[in-house]
Amino acid sequence: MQDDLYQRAAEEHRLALERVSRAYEADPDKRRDLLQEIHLQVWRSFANFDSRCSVRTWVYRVAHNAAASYVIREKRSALVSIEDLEARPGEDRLESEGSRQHALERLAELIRQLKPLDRQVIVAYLEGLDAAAISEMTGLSPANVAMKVHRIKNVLARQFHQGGIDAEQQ
Amino acid sequence: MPNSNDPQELWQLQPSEARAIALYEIHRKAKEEERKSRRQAIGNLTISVMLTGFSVWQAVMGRNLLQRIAFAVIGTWTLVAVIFAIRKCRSVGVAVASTGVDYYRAMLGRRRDQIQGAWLGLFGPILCACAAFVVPVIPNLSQAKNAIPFFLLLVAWAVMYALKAATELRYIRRELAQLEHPIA
Repeated sequence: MQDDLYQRAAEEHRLALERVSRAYEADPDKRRDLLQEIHLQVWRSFANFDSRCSVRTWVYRVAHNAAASYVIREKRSALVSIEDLEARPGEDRLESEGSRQHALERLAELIRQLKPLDRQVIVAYLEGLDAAAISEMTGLSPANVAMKVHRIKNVLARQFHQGGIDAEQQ
Repeated sequence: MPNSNDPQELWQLQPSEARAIALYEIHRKAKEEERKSRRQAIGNLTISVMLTGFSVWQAVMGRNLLQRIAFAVIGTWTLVAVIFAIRKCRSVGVAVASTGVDYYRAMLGRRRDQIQGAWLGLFGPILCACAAFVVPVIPNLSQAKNAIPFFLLLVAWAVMYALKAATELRYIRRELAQLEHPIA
């Protein structure tokens, strides 16, 4: 049962789990280890899956929690909140010289500056989850999630639309 | 082609760089992790038992009364710390499928307990044991002189570790307080 659930979930959410690992680790080798750790935790968690939430919410929760443990364990540099990032002047604006890969790296870098809980919110937003699903996943109140998503949009808009990559490439 | 002006599209359509992980690899990793945590637990327990045994031996065979009393206290201290550590290990931790807030709070709490536990259960008794050796030889200066570099190093290490631990504890407390009163 546990193996079946895991295999189905891993197949369906493999790329999403990979994206979660990118949000938490920059180094490709360490990212592979983190991804394995995430898969292991997802497999373990299915021993207690109670169907009270969707498999997708469950997998996201477990993946982010496993990655949050990793961040706490590694504790490399000071992390900031979305509020701090929003209040910062636009020095982090994405530069024009790069390709999409460069833009993706900068986006991932931006995410990796954030504290685990805020990282969970921004990744969920980027994955296309709505506020209710993010609230269910994080345990934050819907009002709090809405506020954070609003701030995330502001930060991302500053990075991507006000002279973002495409605009500068033209 | 993904539009690099749309962060959601850019994020969701990023190229894959890892191969699929097979179930047998997960099973193997789970077994490896179990073995590793068992080894760690045995290692920690061995250190604590050795420290307790050494303290008891010194409490019985010590050269003077003060030293014997000090080692009796250290032995008891270590034993109590081991019992608490075992009880804590047996208690049910927070599930990895908890909400992000609950899990993050629990992880911060666990890290705080680890830092405080290291002082209360391990470094505290070790430093006290060192002090119990040093204090009786201080009157005999020529004997103490040879040990000064070692103890200076020990004190420097303890101070640096304490400062680092205090900084991390402050950060953890701030994070926990923010979780209690999130910005809405």
